[in-house]
Amino acid sequence: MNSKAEETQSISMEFDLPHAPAKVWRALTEPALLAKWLMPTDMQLLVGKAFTFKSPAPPSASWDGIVGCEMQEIEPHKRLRYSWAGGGLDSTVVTWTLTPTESGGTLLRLEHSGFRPGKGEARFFEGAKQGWQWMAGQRLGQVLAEVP
Amino acid sequence: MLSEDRVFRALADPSRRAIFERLTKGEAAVRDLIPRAGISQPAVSQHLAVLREAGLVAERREGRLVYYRVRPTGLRPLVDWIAHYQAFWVDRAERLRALLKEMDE
Repeated sequence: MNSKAEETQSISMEFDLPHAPAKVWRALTEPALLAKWLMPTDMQLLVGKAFTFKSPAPPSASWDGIVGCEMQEIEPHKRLRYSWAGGGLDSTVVTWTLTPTESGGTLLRLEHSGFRPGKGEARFFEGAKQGWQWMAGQRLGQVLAEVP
Repeated sequence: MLSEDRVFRALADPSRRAIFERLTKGEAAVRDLIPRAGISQPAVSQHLAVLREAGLVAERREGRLVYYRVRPTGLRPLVDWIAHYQAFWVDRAERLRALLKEMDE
């Protein structure tokens, strides 16, 4: 342990999609579409508006499977940012950035920031544990098997 | 039990977390940990055993005393947990890809 314990970590990844930004934007913002690939949600495109993602199958008795969010930034077809808090993970932020590609597709960038590793509060550890179990329950084994 | 699970279980308990955080400040024997933890010696010893099994602390014997210290690599599973979250997004992105394709049809 050292002073770096207070630093946060983030995940970032990029996806090269053969679809126009307008269409990708719909998949990122329309609840009916979000339910099909991420989770059921009551998201509204209003900055400052609170919304949730609800896991269809609650992951454990002690966590309801709800991710609490607040919309932070909306730039249609370009950028979407919201806070992401669930199971005690209370200060992460998800940012989607859409960049048109020459071929008419979209370079979609995801940044999930604000993870606090190291010594944290009970809620962090409890949330991390439950979050992990929750995700592991969702076909993750398959994906993890492919990770070298 | 998976190593992540052991670490999370070990640190989910407030007394164990307090003991672990105390040890991040330096090596200590059980008797040094009792006043701070506010619990009995057997309880402290039991907590230390759980922390040791989770790979979070190591021990060193010196005469009749056992000294405990933090194993810096013990928190590795937490970093791995971030990797699990990364896998979650990779998984979801695959679904997104499939959905976008479906929207064309």
